[in-house]
Amino acid sequence: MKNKIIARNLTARAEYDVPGNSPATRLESGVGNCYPGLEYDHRNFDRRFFPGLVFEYVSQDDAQTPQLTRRGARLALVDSADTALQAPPPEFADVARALRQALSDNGEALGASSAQWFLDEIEQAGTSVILRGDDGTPLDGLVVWRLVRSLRIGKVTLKLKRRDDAAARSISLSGWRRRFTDETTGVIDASFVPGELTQSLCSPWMHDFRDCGCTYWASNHPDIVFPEIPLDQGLLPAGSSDQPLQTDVRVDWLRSDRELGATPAVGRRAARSAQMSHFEINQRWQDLDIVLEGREIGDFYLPRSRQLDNARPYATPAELRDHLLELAGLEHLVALMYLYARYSVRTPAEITNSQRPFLTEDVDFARHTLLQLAISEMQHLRWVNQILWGLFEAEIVPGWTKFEPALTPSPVIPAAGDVTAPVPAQLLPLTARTLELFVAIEQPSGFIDGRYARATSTLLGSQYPRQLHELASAIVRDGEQHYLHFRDMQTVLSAYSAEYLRPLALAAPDDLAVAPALGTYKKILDELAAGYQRGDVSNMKDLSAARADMFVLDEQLETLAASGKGVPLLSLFPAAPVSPP
Amino acid sequence: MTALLRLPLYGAARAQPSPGTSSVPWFHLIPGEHPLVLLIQGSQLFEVDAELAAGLSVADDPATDTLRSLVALGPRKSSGPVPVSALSLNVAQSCNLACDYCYADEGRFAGAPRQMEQTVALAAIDRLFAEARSPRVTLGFIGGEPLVNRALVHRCVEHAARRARQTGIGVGFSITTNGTLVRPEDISMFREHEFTVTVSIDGDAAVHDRHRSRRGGGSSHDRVISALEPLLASAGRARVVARATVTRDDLRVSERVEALLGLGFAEAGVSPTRTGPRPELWLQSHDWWPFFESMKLAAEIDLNRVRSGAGERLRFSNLANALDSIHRGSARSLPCGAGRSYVSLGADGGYFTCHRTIDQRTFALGDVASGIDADKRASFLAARDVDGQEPCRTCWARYLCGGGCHAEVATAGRQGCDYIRAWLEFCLKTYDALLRERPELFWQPGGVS
Repeated sequence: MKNKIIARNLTARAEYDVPGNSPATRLESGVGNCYPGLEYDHRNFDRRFFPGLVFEYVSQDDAQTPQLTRRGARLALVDSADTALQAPPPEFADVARALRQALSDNGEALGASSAQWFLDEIEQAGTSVILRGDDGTPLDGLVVWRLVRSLRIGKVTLKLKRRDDAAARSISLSGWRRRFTDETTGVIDASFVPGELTQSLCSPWMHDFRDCGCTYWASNHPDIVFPEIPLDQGLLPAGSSDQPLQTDVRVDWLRSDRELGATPAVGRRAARSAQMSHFEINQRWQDLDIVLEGREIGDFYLPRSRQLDNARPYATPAELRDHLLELAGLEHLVALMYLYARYSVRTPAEITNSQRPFLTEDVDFARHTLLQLAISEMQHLRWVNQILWGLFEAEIVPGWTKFEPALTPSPVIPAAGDVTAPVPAQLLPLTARTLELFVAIEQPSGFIDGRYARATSTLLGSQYPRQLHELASAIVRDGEQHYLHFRDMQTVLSAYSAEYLRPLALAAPDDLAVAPALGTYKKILDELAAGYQRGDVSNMKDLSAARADMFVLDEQLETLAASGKGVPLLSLFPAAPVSPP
Repeated sequence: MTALLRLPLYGAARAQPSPGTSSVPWFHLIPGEHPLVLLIQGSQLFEVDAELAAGLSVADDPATDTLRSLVALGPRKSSGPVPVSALSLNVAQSCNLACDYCYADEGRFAGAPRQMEQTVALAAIDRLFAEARSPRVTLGFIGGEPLVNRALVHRCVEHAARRARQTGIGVGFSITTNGTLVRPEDISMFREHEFTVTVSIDGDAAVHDRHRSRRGGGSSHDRVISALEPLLASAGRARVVARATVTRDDLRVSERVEALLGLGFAEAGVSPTRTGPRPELWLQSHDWWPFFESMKLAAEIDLNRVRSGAGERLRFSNLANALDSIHRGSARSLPCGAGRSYVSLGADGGYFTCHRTIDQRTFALGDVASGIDADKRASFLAARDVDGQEPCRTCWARYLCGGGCHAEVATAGRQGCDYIRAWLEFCLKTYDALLRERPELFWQPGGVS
């Protein structure tokens, strides 16, 4: 097969995104032997070792009354439709032509229904093996199979003899030992029919897999997987489902209840009772899905990681820049909103004599998560600026002569998805309604998400510096987590009315008490502006200073919030026109 | 010498730019039973099928486009400055030996012998911790012979360990020593603080003493061995490695490496002489091929040790380090961390780009009082990015090699590039083969070595 490449070192593995499963899932990595219970019976390969003929290896070793004349490799079928005969490997073209003729000439004799043809002799490269013992009794089928197994890929001559008619002449055929799997792809030779390799096993391999557990199994098979994304369900740019709570929860591949909502059982013992029983596996093995990239696949397979890049690119670098500027404003705004919401929540120390036993833990969770998400948005703000800087440096936006860091928060949250009408920029305490807004903002395929998908696919274009695409992809992947976090928070806080909130009110911009905090915020913005002005690592000094000041600001905002004052951070920006709701 | 003719250096079918054109290759094909393709920018290594390899060996074949469609090029590595995470202290610019090939003018760097003041050393350590942005820093002691100033080494280790506890930034220690002055209290310190102890030792006594004599003559080999014996016998948590200098009067490598491993060093590596006070010891252009053969032989011996099960790790450092770099896909636009993440402090308190450029004005980066000069660092690095160097700019091996030691390039130019390419190609093939035979070697903590 053409154009096969295999990643060798770590950077190659990280960079090359192989669609499908790893080579470790291929047949040649399987745990095959000739005893039941494993993945396939490799004796079945040798049934078709010789193109055009199918043998059965008959053993009498375990028979109570062995019939010696039934032992050996019995010809089961002449398969003149064998693909290897019709389209042989080039080096065996001549042999195949002669073999087709020989099979046709002997077709009647070999095909006679009463005839019992057995393999009597094999010759390869000048060595002949007679498949009878010294006393003339036939060798057992398993012994013959081992001898056949030892053949190399190359020319082979067989002698077939009838056991039911000693007087009948023997037939010699020249052919070659078949190559069972494609050398480069590992695909099984087309002459084998579905089920043929496992037909002699007493049970499906899933029996043993279930009993051994994944950790014991020697080759890669699915155990804990993501369920299939139904066809009618949307996909996020990075390839996950837009219903993450349904489809991004891992489930047991062997689960008996095949409904998506089936709760994954935790722990070995619990998992066992939720899995299909051996009997059930026999009945329903076809319900066990094929798994690619960790996800069960139903009817269609599309490499997930490529989908991110399939969004419609922006037409020009200038258009991309303008959308990135808009995204930077949004990242900035939501970072401030999440921060403000965080300071509106009581600290665990402020919870006293609570009737609600978990309130302390829950406010801790909410504050921690909000801070995490705010920091993540700040990081995105930096990355967007980095992308913008990279675009500027690459000099691909015509007429763009001066790079200005994007540090003005957006005046509005645009309508998209669950945000049905534009929402003016505002700082709100973490009420249930605010939380709804946050969920809507971070909603998969919402405004931010959708814009980044397009930015990502645009950045794949060859004129863009490659690392900008990586940065944009990182933001998209991050964003999908935010949505889940806010949903979790909703669940947790739904148990309360407002007892987790501080009595917080937004102070007037000219309130002297908030002036120092506003000053710190302004200083941070200046430092960030100086830092973003230089996108390379020489910006380290300014960014470090900004980071240090963020700790100062954190303390100031916290102290003020504890005394009921919210800092109007958005007041630093002159009111921008806001479209009416 | 007939071996030269068998070198698999430039096959007829090689994607090399023709001289005089500006085309810069983006991949390098290594033909063989398992043809390999190295994507130059990100040092990604792929095996390709024979058909694709055949196409890639022909200029302008569509196979090149096919390859491009199958892979993503790694990001171009920045060569700009990063916060310093490694510092070496030239605690003593003097030495008790008088090795005739020494690049450091027997430790004095063309000045008077002198020692570093404690205030200078401690201030530099404080600065290292204050400006570090990494979870771990490295503090090295060099010279001259650092143990000439033993008391300061011990004081610095104590100080740095305290700073590490205070800041939560981890610290690793290293020392490069001739080994002759090592005392039991040093050994205790090496073990306790998990030092990497690099001993300059050239091989067995006969080889070693030819160039590494004591001041006033006499064997230094015996001294090294007797001083290091307890450490070699039981290194504890220290890692004791040997570095041999190869001079052109004796290009053997495996003999040196095997002798050193036999003495109990965990690892042994070699460096060819390219500069120094005695030009007759520098490797000349026709020396590189026999040297390459020596390197290969040493590598084969080491590989056989691992293959036969006699060793669990590679111990020939040049090979082990190269294979580790290839495995990680190291792609660098500079040869080392000098001036970028690493600086060296001279005895007088001046920063320099590395321990080899002490007291050279062109490599100076400010002093410990006013700090490392950011502009000088930036311009030093910008001037040395391998993509701006000739003939590196169009060489396939540029991101594996990085353009060669700054200090050596400054005095001797770029020598032995064909050797470096041959060695790297050998290592790439060896990596591929070893990954097939013993993949677990690459997944053990610490890599192959």
